[in-house]
This record gives sequence, C-alpha cells and structure tokens, in this order.
Amino acid sequence: MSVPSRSAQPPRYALWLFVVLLVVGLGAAWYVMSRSPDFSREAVIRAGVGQDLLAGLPRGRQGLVGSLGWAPLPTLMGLPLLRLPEPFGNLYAFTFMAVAAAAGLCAFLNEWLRRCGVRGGVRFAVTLVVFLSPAIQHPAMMGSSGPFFALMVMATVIFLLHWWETEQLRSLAYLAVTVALAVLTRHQGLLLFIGALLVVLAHLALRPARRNYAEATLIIFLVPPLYAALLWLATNWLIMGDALFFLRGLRTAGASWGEALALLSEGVDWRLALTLAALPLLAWVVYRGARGRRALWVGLPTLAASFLLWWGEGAPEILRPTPADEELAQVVAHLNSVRRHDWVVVSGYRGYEVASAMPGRGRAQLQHVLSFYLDPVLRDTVRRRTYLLVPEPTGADRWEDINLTIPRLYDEGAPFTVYEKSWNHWRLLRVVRVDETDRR
Amino acid sequence: MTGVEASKAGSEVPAEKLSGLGIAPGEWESVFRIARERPLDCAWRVLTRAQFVALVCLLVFVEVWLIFDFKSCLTVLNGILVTFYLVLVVYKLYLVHLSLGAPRELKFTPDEVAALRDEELPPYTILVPLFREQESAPRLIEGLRSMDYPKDKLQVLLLLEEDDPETIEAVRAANPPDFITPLIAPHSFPKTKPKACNLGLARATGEYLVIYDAEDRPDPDQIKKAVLGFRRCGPEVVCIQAKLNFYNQRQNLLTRIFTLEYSMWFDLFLPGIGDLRSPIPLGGTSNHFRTARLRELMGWDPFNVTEDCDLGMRLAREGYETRMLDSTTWEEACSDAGFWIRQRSRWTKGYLQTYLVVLRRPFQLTRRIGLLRALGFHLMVAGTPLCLLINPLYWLLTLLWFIFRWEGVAEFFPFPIVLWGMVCLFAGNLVFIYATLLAAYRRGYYDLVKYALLVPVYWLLMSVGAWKGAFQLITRPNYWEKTRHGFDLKAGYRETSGKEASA
Repeated sequence: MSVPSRSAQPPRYALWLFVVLLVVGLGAAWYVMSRSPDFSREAVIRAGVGQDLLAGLPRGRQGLVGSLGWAPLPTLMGLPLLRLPEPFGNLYAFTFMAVAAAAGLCAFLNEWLRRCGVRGGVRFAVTLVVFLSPAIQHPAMMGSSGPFFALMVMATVIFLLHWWETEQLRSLAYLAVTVALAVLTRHQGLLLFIGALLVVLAHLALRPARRNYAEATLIIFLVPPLYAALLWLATNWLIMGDALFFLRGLRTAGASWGEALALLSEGVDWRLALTLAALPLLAWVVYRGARGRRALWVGLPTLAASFLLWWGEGAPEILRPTPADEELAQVVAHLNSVRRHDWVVVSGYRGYEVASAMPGRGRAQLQHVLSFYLDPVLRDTVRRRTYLLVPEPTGADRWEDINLTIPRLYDEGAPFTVYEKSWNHWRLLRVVRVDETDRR
Repeated sequence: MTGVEASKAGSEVPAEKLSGLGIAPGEWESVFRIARERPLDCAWRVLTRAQFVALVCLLVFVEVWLIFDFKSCLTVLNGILVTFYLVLVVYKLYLVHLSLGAPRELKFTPDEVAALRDEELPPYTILVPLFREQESAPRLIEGLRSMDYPKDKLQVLLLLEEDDPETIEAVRAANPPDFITPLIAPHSFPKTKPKACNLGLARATGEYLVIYDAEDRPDPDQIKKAVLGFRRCGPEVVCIQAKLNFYNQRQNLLTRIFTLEYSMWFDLFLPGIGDLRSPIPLGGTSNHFRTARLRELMGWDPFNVTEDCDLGMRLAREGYETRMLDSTTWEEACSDAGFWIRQRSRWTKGYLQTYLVVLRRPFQLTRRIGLLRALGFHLMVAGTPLCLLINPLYWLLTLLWFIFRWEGVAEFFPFPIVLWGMVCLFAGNLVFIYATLLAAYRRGYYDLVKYALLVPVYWLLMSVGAWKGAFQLITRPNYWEKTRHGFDLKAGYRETSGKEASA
C-alpha cells in the first residue's frame, strides 16, 4: 500500500495550470470589477492599514496587529503591491492576491488528484468546477482573504494525509508552516491548528513510537504556529503596550468563554470546510482501495463534492466577504455637507471604510483614529465643532474601539453629546461642552 | 611579492634535508605549483594590487559620501545589507526545500556495494594529514585497518610534520601495516594542512584519492560507495563529497548544537547546492577525487586556510562538478569553546580568503557556470561569513529600538527596507532555527531536536569566531588555527559509532 508519490520536482504542467488559472481569474476580475467595483470590507480596511503602514503612521502599525478580526498576514502580503497604480495597486492588490490564492488552490488540488490516479478529464472538470464556483470566485474578486485561507485548509488536509501515511519530514514541516500561516491569516486558523494537532497526536498515539520521536515530531509541528502566535503577542506588546491587546474586545467587554468560542467559530461554514477537506480526502481514501475503477470511484465523488461548493447561496460564510457598506454613501454625503472646518471623528477599522469613501476634501476634516480616547476630543471642541460617527454595536462592530470605550454611546448617547443624525447602522453625534449641554 | 617569490618562500628547504626525509625535489616543488604557475588562484596575498586600489577607492567614496550626506549613505548601505540578507534567507530556504524532497545525494544500497568484486576495484589513495595528533594516531590506524576495501589496492599516506616528533613516534608505536606509509614533510612555512596534502598528492598512486582527518571514522564502505559514485557519474564529476557528522554529539551543549549545525550544512544545504549545480564549498575531509584531474588543478592552495572551500570553487571554475555521497564520516566535534572559536575563526578567514581569490577574476566563474549558479557561490562563500560579521550589528540595532525606541534607528529603515528588515527579523530567524530543527530530525537525532531552539545563543559564539577570523585576515592571513582533538577521550566520553549515534 502506498500513498500518492511525490516526484522530485512539481510537474511543469501544474505550474502552467496555475498560470493559466491566474490569468483567467485576473481577466475575469478586472472585467467585473472595472465595471462595478464591489470590494469587500476586508479589502478596504486592509488597504487602509497598508497605506498607513507605508506612510509610517503609528496607526498603521496598530492596525496591523491590534485586531483579532483582521489578522496581519494578508495585509503584509499586500504591501508590495499597494503602491502600484490601479488596476494593480490599492484595493486591486487584494484582488490579485485572492485570485492567485484561488488559482493556487485549484492547481494544488489538481496535482493531488493526479497523484491519486484520477484521470485527466475528471480531474480538470473538478478543478474547473472548484475554480469557477461562486464560493471561490466571489471572494477572490472582492479581495477577501477567504481563498487564501481555503488554500491553507486544503493544504493542511493534504499534508496531513501525506504525513500520516509516509511520515515524511517535508510533509510534516509544510503542515506546520501551513497551519502557522492560517493562524496569521484568520483567527479561525486556531481551529485548524487544534484540528491538525489532534490528528498529529492521534497518529503518535496509534503508532508505537519512542518518546524522543514523539517529542521531536511535536516540536517540529508546534514551532511554526507557536512562533506565529508569539510573534503576534510580542508585536502587540511592543506596539500597543499590551500583549493581549488584539483580544481587547473579548476582555474589556467581559465576554464569557461561550462568547469567546462563538466569536472564534463566527463565520465558519462547516459545509465549506468539510468540502475542502473532503476533496483530497476522498481521492486519497479511494486511491488506497479500488485501483481498477479509480477514475470512477475517485472522480465521481470528488466531482460531487466539488459541486457542493455551488450549494446554497453560492459563497459559504467563511469565504463570503462582507460587502462594502452601501449605507456609507448616504453617511458620506451628509458628512461632505458639514462645515469645512468641522471635525468628524471616526475610530477603529470601520474608520478606514469611511476614509476610503471620502477622498479629497472629506479627508481633510475626517479625524480617523484607531484607538479612541475621549480627552483629546473634548479638548478640541473648544476650537472647532466636532462630531462622532458611531457604528451600530452589532456583529464585529461591537468590538470597534469607540463602542468598547463608551459602551452605550450608540443607543443612549453621552452627557457630552447631542444627537445629530441617524441612519440604519450609523449614528452621528455632536460633541458639546458641558456648559453648552446645560444650556439646552 | 609575486607568486614565484611566494613559492620560493615556502619551498626553501635544503635538498639534503628533503632527501633525508625521502622526498624527491620534484615532489616538493609540486607542493607550491599553484603559487608559481597560477598566482592569481593563490591566497598568498590577501589582496592583489588591483583589489587593493579598488578597496581604497570604495572606502574613500563611502567616506566622502558619509561626510556630505551621512543619512542617505547609511540608508543605502543598510538597504544593500538587508536585501542581501533577504536573498540569503530565500536561497537557503530553497535549498532546504530541495533537500527535504527526493534524495539529492548519490545513494547506494548494501547489495550494490556487496556486488562489487575486489578485482574490479581501482587503486585508491587515502591522505591523512597529522599534526600534533599523538592521541588520535592509534585509534586512526585501527580505523584504517577496518576499512572495507582490498588492502592491496589501498595506499594510505600519513602526512606527518618533521617538527612533531610526538606524533611521528605515536605512529611508529602503533606499528602500522604495509599499506600505511608515513610521509614526513620538512619543517617550513606555511604550516598548513593543504601543504601536507599536496605532498601526499605528489606521492599518490591511486586512481582516486580521499582525505581523512586524524580523528575521522568514515563509514567502512564509504570508499566503495565513492567508486560506485564515480562510475555512475560522468567524467565531469571530479569530486564526491561524503557527509560529515560527529560521534561525540552528546558530550556537552556545544557539541550538541555543533552537531545540529553540521547536520544542517551537510544534510540540507550542500545536497541542495549540489542539485542546483552550484559550486560546493567542500568539507575539510572525506572529499574523494579523481587523482589525475586533481593534479591538473595543481592540488590545494597551500596558503589558503580553507583549502577545501577554495578547491570546490576552482573545480567549478574549470567546469568540473561535485556530488554529495550518502555516506557519513564521523568526526570529533570540538567540545571546548576556546578551540571552537579558533576553528570558527579559521573557517571564516578561509571563506573570505577564497572569496577574495575568486573576485580577482570576478566574471570568470559566472561565464563558466552561469549567473544563477554563481549567485549561489556568492551567497554561500561570501554570505556565510558576512552574515556572521554583521549579525551583532543588527542585533544591537534591534535591541536599541525595542528597548529604548530610539527613533534614530528608524531613520535608516525607510520603506521598503523596513519591510524587508521585518521579514528578515521575523521570518529569517525562524527559517534558520527551523532548518536546524529539521536537520536534527532528518538525521534521526530526535533527542537533539529541542536543542535547536537554543541555536540563537550559538550564533553569538559564531559571530565571535567570525570577527576573530576577520581580524586575522589582516594580521595573520596564512596562520592555521589548529583544532585540537581528543577532548572526548580526556573527558571520558564514551564513543558511539555512527549507527549508534543516529539510532
């Protein structure tokens, strides 16, 4: 019994397949996005953080590491492209990366199926179905980190399977690095890490291994993900002065374990996760069995599994990017009408969305801060009129800094604010001095 | 001083003395042939006149730039170094990736080795340079007796030094068999191993030739595997390098981490380099050669203190190739920090010497092997010592920034240098630590894997050795820092054979 063999060099056609899928994907993305740009909230925020980083602003450094929701790796990967002119740079940088990840995912899957003995026709059909499925294309075009995370999920499964069978060091090392990258891409990567760790432990428990071997195997597996996590903690400590700053929402809001776990699994669509795991797993399981009817036994189930990606609304939750906030156009229209020297203070990651929607004149008066501090805001009202733009504290927005600092600001306001205007999910409050409030 | 003068300086030994030691004048002449006939390939001088002028011009240019625009000059220099670091990290990562895949070495099964018949085996010469190795001599001779090769086809030359009577006496006392011949070199300068090896080369009768150190324990079937290797490869393969590792790896913390470093070098980096057909910086021992080709190349440079690395580069420049062999020679890891630093200083000095020698004709190597392979040479031969030299500077800058948040540091890291610097700091260090972990695991040293996490401390020691070597390149360029062996015996460390060690 053997596993799919690993040739010394990846076959050239796998590389060509990747290039072809990349070109096709980029062409399609450019065609769609140039007509109706619909970038994800993630792309907007990451582009904003990246631009701040490139400008050397402290806000950029804080934005890079300070949130569990926006893990740092995709932003860092986008940095080299951000300075390019559109349609290569800025928001398109994240589209480019996501399309490349989708192409890589499909080329990788194709190569794995090839090694499992799936014939060409079925293999390419599976590859195309996966690549063209809305679950992949939609987030790829919108510049989400979803396709990259999906690539990590699939790679983890493939390396785990290969290591389980062969105990090859390379597979173990790649597994560890893949999991580490997943942890730095999305916080759900932690679940992937725990899952992979359980499989590794199970393998070591089932195999009569010596203690030294088991210990060394665990070290090899654990070092990259733990290093990634430690790095995140260390950068938080260095930049924010608190190693656990990126968990601030959970901690300061006094979240329970249940809420923390809910947040951890928020946005995880098990249907997609299972599908991505099932594709290589099915191919591998059947490969070990019926050699004679390999094409049939492997091809059909994998084809069926890949169709699952089209199931439901198209883009499963974990990959489905949050679209840009349509309501922002109305908010920005109003903000553009306020007096030129007035200040609009907007905080946190949502601030990048507002800033992105208010280029030119708007940015001159928009005060975007990542961490919200009340004192400077109150002090500045002496000289100018100041507004606070507050997102509704639901979903991820409940962890936005302004909602953490003044928890009931959106619903009840504060003694130093007066109501100015409201939308469905935004509220504009004017900051007033205490004596002014008294007069009212 | 010209190459001829250098050769004369080295070879001025009275003819009577030579004949008293049984050395023909022609044999002694051949020891310094490279200095005489190819002075540009010889490290007798650290810098040629042209190199000296170029270096002075460069220094003046940098100084003027510093005076007129301190900040931009340092930023550009910093950018060059950080870029270099980044390329080195990527290159070494790629080497690890290659080596972790399919076997890159020449590999032979025991059946293939057993199938070799004695009568079809070629004559083989083993050179063993010995200087102040009286403790190792008896063990060495015992080891040579046990080599799995027909003794009538084996010529072993023990290369002794006239001014080392203790080792000469120890060899005599061990009563070596007929196929082992002591060859005593007259006292002369430079006092280097390659000089002794060249004398042995002049006397060698084997079709192939290999060098072992006094404390080496090659796998018994290594020579047969090398013969198979030469048969499998074409005539362009002139050298086959066996892997080196240590038999006293668990003696103390230093030997543990030294073992990991060696495993990384010989099991991960060199096979990858061989696969890319880049020049392989040979290890100090266990390099097997085609004797005739080695003579054409004029043997080793007697003035170079890493003659092995230098020879690897000359092989590549002449269009020859080196392959790695899946067989291990077990050596003694230096377990004393002081001697370890001396050894490291010699290696660094030698790598810099070799690099400067190759730079005398900077495009020759590139023309011969191509740009990408030549890049491999620059990264390994210049990159390895350069990294060790500049590491302390960057550690200091990092500390300054992290502890004091000294903004002066940040001024020299504009975008994209800061981005690359972060990649080097955060990913680069992980790459090197992880490669060390992988090397231990691949070798089967499972109990040593955890020690790889301590390797950053070891880097500090490496930098100390590197700086010592760099200073010596200026003050005593041809001085051979002798590595003392036998510490394992003195410490009462129980020897383990190669198989035991990896079990």
